[in-house]
Amino acid sequence: MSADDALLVRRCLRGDAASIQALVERFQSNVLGLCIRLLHHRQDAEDVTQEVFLRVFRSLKRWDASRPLKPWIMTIAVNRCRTWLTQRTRRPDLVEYLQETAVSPPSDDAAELAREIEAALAELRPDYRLVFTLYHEQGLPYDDIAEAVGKPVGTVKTWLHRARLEVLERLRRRGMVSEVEHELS
Amino acid sequence: MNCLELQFVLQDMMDGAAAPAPAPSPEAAAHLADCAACRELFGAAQSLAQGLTLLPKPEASPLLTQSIVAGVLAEHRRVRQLRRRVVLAVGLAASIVLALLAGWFLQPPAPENKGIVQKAPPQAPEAPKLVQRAEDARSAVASLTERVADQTKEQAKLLMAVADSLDLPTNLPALNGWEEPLDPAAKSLRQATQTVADGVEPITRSARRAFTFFVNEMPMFDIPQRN
Repeated sequence: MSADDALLVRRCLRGDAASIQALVERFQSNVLGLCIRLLHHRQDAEDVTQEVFLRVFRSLKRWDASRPLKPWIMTIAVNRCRTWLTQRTRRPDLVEYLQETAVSPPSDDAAELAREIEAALAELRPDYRLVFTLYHEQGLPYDDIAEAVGKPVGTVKTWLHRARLEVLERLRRRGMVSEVEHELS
Repeated sequence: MNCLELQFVLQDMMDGAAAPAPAPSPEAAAHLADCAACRELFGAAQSLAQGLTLLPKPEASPLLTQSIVAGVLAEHRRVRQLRRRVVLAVGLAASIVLALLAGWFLQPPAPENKGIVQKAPPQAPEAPKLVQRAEDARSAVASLTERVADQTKEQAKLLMAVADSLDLPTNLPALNGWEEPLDPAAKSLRQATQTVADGVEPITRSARRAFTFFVNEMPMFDIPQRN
């Protein structure tokens, strides 16, 4: 994967349009997903995603080829989202976000569970939400998350631990609890 | 196992990412059987593990992809153009500098001493200035004149004394034979005249020397010629 990334990056640096498109397509879902999760606004997330990739290609020469590309790109995305949040005065409400991200009818139990999780994530404080998203949705290991958010691994673990407990507490309050009695018997 | 330990078990379970939650261990199962709160929390963790797999993955629209790629390519073009301009400007500046250097080194040698600051000749011992020389001459002439005047004054005093001792008559006799009684006075006058002439002679000699000195020194100065 890293060799693929390095080859792709070399081609991108030569200005190969197909390689640039391939790199964008490989990571844009991850970047966009993180931006949506952090910004709560689809249009803003797309704008930031575009900025993220412009910055990625601008500083692609500085990427360390011995390390994976995805955490490096996600670090740039995190920083751009943070900057965007500090500059943005408008805060979209949760309904807008849910309407934009819901893909299934609300009657579906699975969709309802997903919506409850998203609502729980939206209530988290930004740092907790960030590490939760990077870990559970983007699949980054602790070390990469620590680098992306600029905090020690211990802090990241603590934030993730608390974020999980808050989400679990909300799911419990909302009745989104699986039956476990039959599993214990 | 207590409630806190069960929370750690839940964390470890959820560290397994979005995989389906595994069955609790016997110790955890025993605690869950006794603690309703932890049982609910464990159920919520199972729901969360399941729900994380259900979260919608945002799909980027093809328009967004095209927009990003177009933006990146446009920036590539801008950077390339800027780099080309910089190279062109640097090349132009270098060629101008080279042309100037070539013109400087390949031009024919300049006329002798032209445009080159001449070195000042070694300084000769500074001659006395004209004012100083004139002052010296004036003081020399003045001292000589003063000396001669003093001598003349002495001669005149002597002459006056002689004239007083003559006791000349107020009624002058007839002119016949008058040279004889006046002869001593005339002789004194002649002597005084000679003395004065002797006294003036050094002055004239000094004046002549001064004039010769000026004439000798005159070529040192550029006297503007009048047409």
